[in-house]
Amino acid sequence: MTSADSQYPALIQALEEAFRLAYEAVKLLIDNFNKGIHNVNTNPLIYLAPDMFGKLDQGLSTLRDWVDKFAKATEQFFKHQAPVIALIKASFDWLTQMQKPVSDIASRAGDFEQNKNYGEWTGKAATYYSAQVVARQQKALDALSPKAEAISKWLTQVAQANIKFLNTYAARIGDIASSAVAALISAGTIIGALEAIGDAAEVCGKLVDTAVTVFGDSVEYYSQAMSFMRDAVSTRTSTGAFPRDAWPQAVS
Amino acid sequence: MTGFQVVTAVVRKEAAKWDEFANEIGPVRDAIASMKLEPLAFFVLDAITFATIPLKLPAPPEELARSYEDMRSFVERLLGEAQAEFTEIAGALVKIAETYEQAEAVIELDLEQVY
Repeated sequence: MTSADSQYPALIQALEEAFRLAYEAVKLLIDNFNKGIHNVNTNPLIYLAPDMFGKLDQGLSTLRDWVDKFAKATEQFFKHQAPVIALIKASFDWLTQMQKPVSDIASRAGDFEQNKNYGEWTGKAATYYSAQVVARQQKALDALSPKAEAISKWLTQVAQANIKFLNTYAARIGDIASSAVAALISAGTIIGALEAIGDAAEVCGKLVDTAVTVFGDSVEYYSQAMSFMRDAVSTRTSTGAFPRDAWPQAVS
Repeated sequence: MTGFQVVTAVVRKEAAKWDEFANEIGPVRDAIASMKLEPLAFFVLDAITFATIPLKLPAPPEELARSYEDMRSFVERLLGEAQAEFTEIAGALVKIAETYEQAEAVIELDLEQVY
């Protein structure tokens, strides 16, 4: 059992858990916002302060926009769930379905143990076969399996960037829902409600303004994966194992 | 067993090895062919959500998707070429074995003529 065998279900599980947390956080945000609105609407004090209506309405509309944006964004995330799972599966398949069989062939290509009388074959054809044919195929086979490993590792990084992002997102939205927006539920006065609305909207805006810092970890993982892949693409033939970007031809 | 028979057996055994490799690498190519990934797979944020949460990624997920497809299709092509090459090597080895057999037969025939 390789480490990938155990890493694969763990990654899928981590991703699904991150999606679940993001969903629950945004659900709490919506619930608390609705409860907050209910609190304001059922508070008899608002009828005693008609001059506050405009401000209250405006504040709630601003906050509703934020809640709406986060709800829609989260909904969009879920469209990526199945594709990201496919990516994790692919990262595993590059190892099991390519790296393993290819390195298995590579280990047998130049092995003459099974061909007991191999040493009996001498002469020009034999020399050409071992020095040109086997050697070049061996070089190409040896260069191929690390590629599968590299691609697998790269895809894993991409998946981890997603998991990190979703977890951070869930934590931040959860914070906003359970503190700033929750304050609106318990606001006992109109002034208190106005303050809670203002604070909540501010916290939402701040999350967006500081997204680069807040989600720094996921951006970093993503950037690493990006440069890793650029290197992989640009150096794909640098080993000389694949002359003219192709599999070496011994027989033409 | 005369010398030429040992050698042709050796060469034929090598040919069988490459045929085996060709058979084994075929499914690898098929597997890679099925590992295409859509751009949605590369990041949960897309054009729509980037407007809400500006992450300033160094490159859009579409570029990651393109890089992946570049590598995937390159490897798929290499594997296809490898399979064809292995089959050709096996074929060439069989031809070598046949040539040895014919040459040996000619020599034996000559010897018969001599004696």
